[in-house]
Amino acid sequence: MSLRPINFVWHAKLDDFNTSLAWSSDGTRLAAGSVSGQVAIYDVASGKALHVLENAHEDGCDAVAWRPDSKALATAGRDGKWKLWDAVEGKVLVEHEAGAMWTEHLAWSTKPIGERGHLLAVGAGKQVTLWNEQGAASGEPLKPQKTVTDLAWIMGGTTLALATSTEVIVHDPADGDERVFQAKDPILAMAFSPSGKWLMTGNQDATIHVWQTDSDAQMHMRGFPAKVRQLAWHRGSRWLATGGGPSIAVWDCSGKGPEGRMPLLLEGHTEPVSALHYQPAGDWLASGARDGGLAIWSPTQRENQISRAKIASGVTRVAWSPDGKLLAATGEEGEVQVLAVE
Amino acid sequence: MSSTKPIPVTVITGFLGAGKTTLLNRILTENHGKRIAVIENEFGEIGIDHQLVIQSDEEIFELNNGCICCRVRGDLIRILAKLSQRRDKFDSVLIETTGLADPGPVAQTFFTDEEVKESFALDGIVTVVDAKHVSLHFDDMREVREQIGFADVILLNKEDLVSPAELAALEQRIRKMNPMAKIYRTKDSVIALDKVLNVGGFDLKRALQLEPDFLEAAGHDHEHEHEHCEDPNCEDESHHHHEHDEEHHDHHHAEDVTSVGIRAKGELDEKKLSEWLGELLRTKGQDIFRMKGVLAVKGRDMRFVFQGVHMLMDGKPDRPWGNDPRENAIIFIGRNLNRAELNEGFKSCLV
Repeated sequence: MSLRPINFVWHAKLDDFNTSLAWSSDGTRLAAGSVSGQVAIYDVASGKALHVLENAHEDGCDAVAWRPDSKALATAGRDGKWKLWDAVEGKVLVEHEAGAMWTEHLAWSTKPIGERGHLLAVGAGKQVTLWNEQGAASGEPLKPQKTVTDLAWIMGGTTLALATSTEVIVHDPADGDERVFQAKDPILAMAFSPSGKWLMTGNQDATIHVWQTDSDAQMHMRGFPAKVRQLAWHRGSRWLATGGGPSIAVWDCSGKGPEGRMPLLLEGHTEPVSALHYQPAGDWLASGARDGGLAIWSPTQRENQISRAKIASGVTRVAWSPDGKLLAATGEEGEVQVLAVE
Repeated sequence: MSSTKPIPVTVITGFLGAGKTTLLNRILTENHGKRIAVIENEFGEIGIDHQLVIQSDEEIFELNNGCICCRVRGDLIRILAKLSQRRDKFDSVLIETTGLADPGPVAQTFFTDEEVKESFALDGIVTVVDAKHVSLHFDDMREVREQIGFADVILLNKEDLVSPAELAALEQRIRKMNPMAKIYRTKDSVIALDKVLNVGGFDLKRALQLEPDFLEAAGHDHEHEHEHCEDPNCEDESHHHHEHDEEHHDHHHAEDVTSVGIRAKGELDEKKLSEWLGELLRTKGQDIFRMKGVLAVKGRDMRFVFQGVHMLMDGKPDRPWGNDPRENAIIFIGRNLNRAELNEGFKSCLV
């Protein structure tokens, strides 16, 4: 098996554990945030830090999310706030309290919600608030019973999904319609297939749970060595990759779903996998592990590992650029590495 | 990956108004120079600046992997995972629970969640008791009795508000429920920090150090302690009625939270022991809050030390017996413990 060489395009460093990483939708900017509260905006072409926002959030930054026009960046952190930054000037446009001690989740709708435009969902404690592109409140907050553990726009980017430990709530901001999926095991992470057919949750007790959303079918997969927090869908909605240990399992969700089928196992990491991401427009899966190992896979091929690399400390996030040509990875000691597979 | 020493965690429990927040503020004030993260479950008056104080809502995770005792605190798992990301780690973490919190899930969090275990170690459970008012809650508040049962350290606070006789009676009653804990009488929660921090309540290395204490407290062969007989061979309920007048609350009352100490000379059969203990924890683990022991196992040169919370047990060989006579000491603290059954079961494991 011959691995493809890696081109380490550029690297940078924040001053502590990187918690968050996001590509702008035009692919020209990359943002990363750290537990020290530092947030950096990089020019992808040159690797130059255009802005280093010191202490963007006191006590730590937990999320960064680009406004879909790539001109503004939303950040959230352990000061309980979320902020909208002018990414050109590096200045705060607006900042708001989000309703809890820690603001941990941010997600922009990928499509406009009627006249309200693109909406930003902000998850803090037991509350999700919605904001418009200018950073003004838009609509009533959602108040689940438990702390929000995950947040995403699904079904083409116009429907909001949020997870707490006990349920997944799907909310249509246009008409307020809600659908609730009750969970048996405490949910840590949630991932809807791009088609919307499948909802998967990764759970505290080392299981994943699967709902087929167009029927009442549910499935439950056990046998993971650790709790499952990493879930990544292939764009075609057929393959779901999961972490929860040093091996990556890739589940075939075609037809009746993954139950009773052996997943493809991607072996190579020696420490637990900490990050997974499929190419937005391709078939490669990127993984990062707690020992700093990075790997690129083409799961359905017999020689499934395409390439591998390493950063100095444990990988915290991996993210493909929108065109899939570049991979960004962040580390526990603040590393920001951008690389390409030749 | 972090390979540093786990950060010690101290849990402060106690009924509303007992003096938990006063104790917390005292630790924060006196421990200046150290970095302490505080996780609070109710809004207390933290009077100290420059400390990280995190508010949290008690959120119990019920894990469905077959064990009814696998209740852990999801809020703590989430918060501790985030705290462990920081490079300049904390010297310690203090968790103040609500007055009604069950300490079981708090403790179990530190023994079941791999990520939490990697970065944090539960050092001790400190229970603050309002000496003046606790008697009012003893009988109708299950939580008060649980918090006493789980404790490594108990502060009999507000000692100035009760008579010495009342205090002695209260201490005696609490001692009976939990002979393992160190009990201190305090006013305004004033206590030397080394009595509440780094007490090693779950540290197997220190299980042996505790041995003389809990054996004595378990009341074995202590004739002068006839008023609260804990003699493992004694099942005479009438002992409970020897109480004096000042302890009238206890008069017709057999505690549901109590302790059973067992001491036996000789050696244990490893297979029988593991079967008995396994069965005991499976069937009664829910009612066993804490347990500790030092055991002599036949064919093993080392003392075997163990400690546990509910169904979770942690044990290892310690130092060699050498020429010391082989004997076993074990203590259970819990709810509705059956002394005769525990004794009989344990002794059936002797060779």
